[in-house]
Amino acid sequence: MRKTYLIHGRIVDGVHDTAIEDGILVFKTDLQAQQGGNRDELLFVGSMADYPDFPAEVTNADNVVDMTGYTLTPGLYNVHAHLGLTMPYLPYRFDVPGVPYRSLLMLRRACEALDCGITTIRSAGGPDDIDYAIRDAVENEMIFASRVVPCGALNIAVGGHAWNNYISTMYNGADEFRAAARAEIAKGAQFVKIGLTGGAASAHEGMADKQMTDEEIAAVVEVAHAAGKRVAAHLGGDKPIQEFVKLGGDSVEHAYHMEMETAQLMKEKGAFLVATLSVTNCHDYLVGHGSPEFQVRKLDETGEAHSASIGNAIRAGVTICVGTDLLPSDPIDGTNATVREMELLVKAGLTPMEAIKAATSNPARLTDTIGFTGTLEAGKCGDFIAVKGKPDQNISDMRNLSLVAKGCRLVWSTVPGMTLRRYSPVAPGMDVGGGTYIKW
Amino acid sequence: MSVTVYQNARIFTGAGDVIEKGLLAVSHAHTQFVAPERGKTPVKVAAALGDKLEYVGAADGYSVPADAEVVDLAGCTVLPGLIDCAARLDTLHPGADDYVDNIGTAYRTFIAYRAAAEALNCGVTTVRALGMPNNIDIGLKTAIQKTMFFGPGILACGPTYAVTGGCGHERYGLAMASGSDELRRAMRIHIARGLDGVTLQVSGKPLASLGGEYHQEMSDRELHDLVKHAHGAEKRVMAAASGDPSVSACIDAGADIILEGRRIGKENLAAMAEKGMGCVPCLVSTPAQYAAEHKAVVAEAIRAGVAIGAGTGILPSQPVEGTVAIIRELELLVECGMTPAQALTAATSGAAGLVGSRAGVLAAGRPADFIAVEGAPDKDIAAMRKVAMVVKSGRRAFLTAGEAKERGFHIMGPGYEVAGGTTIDWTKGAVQGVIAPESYNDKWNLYKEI
Repeated sequence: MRKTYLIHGRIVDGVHDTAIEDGILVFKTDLQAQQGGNRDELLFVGSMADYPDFPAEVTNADNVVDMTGYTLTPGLYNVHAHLGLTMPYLPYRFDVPGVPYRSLLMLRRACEALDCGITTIRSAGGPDDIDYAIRDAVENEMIFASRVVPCGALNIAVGGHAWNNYISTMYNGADEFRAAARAEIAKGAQFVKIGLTGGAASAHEGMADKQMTDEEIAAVVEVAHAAGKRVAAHLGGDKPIQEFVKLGGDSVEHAYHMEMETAQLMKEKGAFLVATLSVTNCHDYLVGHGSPEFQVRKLDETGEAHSASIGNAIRAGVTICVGTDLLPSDPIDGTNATVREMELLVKAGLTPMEAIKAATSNPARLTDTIGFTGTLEAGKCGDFIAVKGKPDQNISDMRNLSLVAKGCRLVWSTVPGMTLRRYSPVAPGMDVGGGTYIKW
Repeated sequence: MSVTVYQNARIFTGAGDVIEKGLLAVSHAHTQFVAPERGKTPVKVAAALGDKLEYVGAADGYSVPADAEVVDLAGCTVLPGLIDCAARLDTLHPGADDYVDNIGTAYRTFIAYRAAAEALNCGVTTVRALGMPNNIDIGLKTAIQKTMFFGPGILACGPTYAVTGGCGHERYGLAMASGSDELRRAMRIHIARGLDGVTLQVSGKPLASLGGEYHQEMSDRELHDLVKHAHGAEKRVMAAASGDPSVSACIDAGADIILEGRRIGKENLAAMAEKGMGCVPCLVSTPAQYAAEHKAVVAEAIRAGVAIGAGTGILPSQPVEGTVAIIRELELLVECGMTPAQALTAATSGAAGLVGSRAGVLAAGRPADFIAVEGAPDKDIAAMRKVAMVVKSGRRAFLTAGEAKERGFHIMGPGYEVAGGTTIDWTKGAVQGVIAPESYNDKWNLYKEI
């Protein structure tokens, strides 16, 4: 058993509203324990002044690293990711790669996310139960990657959002949606995902078209809530959002159009918002990938409304979470989609500290993982990152990722005195990165 | 372009010679995505590894570039990366329920990748996949080839083709059919999806009704037609066969390799040697009650000059008798009468010849797949128990020779060992048994068999 002391760094713990300026983070690792024996955890998070036992208690077996100039934050979340995303969208329902290859592709994206400091991903839905398989493989300590919170299928109405792509699963009627929800709960989903309204994916749907009936929505909500789980819905259109929240919906994805009244209702009901500002701010990404004209146009056109909608949510005090729809590791604008989403949220009106919470403690609550991660507190499992600078003052400092750790195990670090890489599922010397920009 | 030089090694080239004071030079090149600056659109790339084995030979025949990385392998023997001629990478824990596919293709694929990573850590740089279902081997092979993940090269051979109810049907994954037409149909589909070879299950178990002889389950007609078809598609045929009736049928049909061969008479062995047919006995996974007879057969095969390939039939990394299955197989081959050098050949150049791989020999221009072990395994096979370095496609997975202790390839977090084979029950805690309810996808999905 060995203790590691990260000293003199600033700490944004995801709980408080200000950073700890001269902080100390202590954690223990039992490197002999494997296969379900990972009992590593954070021992102490606070200011150096509140830890008088340092340096006296440090033994020869322990590690001490000076984090001056760095800020530690909890490992990031990306709560809207389709790990199997390939661009451009194939406009017909055909499984090109096949399940084995697509499983490996999705696992690769989970590995890329971890390398980018994203320690937890919430899947946004896809076929063939691959998200459950990644969840199990990572939890069973078979392969190291980002934690995946699965939901199984992207359940839509017949002819609904993204109907013309293999990614969606179509049902018709409350009974069929009920069966779909029951199947996902049986597999251990934390939430059930539905495509409530139209979006950019299909040519003939409007971004605010309501595609599911209240009966269908209620059936899904009833099944999920009875099992203590949540319902997430792809949503645009102010009225459909309102109706979803009134029916008990828990997680609103995108919210392309939302008036202040609806935002206030969200706040009142405690519903979460996954803004995905990335998706209406990626013109070059879409064009560069050769996306069809109608997808680029629809998303460009919705940009202003989406901005206003998220602005309403921020003013109403709705709990906002970081999700991108682009891959967590997707390269965009000189950084990755997850960090850029945090920058877009600050541009929309969140303070940098609030944006960090949107990427850590908020989604931890959304995914019911706050019991063991999402914040930096004693007893948590130890998902954390270090960036050079002060991201709680200048959000773009999140771009300066310098250390990633998950479950108290180091992934990589460029912090002086601890420059190493402990994880590489790819050929040594090649990066675990690339997102949708690699021709798989 | 950078170069790594491995020096001060004995090199067992696999071509029949040993270079005493040898040197290998590997040049490195790769294409990977490079993040552009702010405001610039990224360009899609096809990631690729372009490392080359530039030189293999005496140290004085190569001029080391000033900026080369130099690795000193004093005290080690370098040999080509090992080839496991028959490994079922999705083999589950013995206690796991593997009668039907209750864990799903995605999770099974991850189990297979974990096993592939463990195999690489054991020095296996090429695997001829055995009987893997759902074309998981094709997906895994492509993913590794395209550098999505690092791992051994995979020769995909699809599921094992057997007759309905044939040997092995108690486990999930056998492709069962009756009659040449049905079997050929299955094989045609998988070959079109991309196989490097095919595997047939010809024999069943020994039957009392046959006086204890192994039952030939696949008919002569079926066997003949399948071999003819596979050869027409330029795929080598590995036939799981034991007992002279089955083995004779395989020889007559023109099969290329006998898998297992737990009972083969002298006459058939001589015919195999004469025809250049190979044998992959997989002694390490022979059940105890057949082991003695099997070893005697292998000893006779060695005397007869049959080409033998090292294979495990299970996972190369399976812990066995203080080592791992692929290494134990080499030790068992030596116990049957091979010299250590012959056993190494069975896992390198000999194996490559049997399965149709360019690897298995160390020479400029060959794949940069090689390992280093402490000592001289061509003199004492037990030295293979200490693999000190693995290089695959020019990239070093790990190095523990001398002072060095470095690990470049690790699919787990620090402190975890990527090892264990089927001693770990991966199905525990995994979702089992649930399938999706019927949706409109079945009606709306476009579907193509190939």
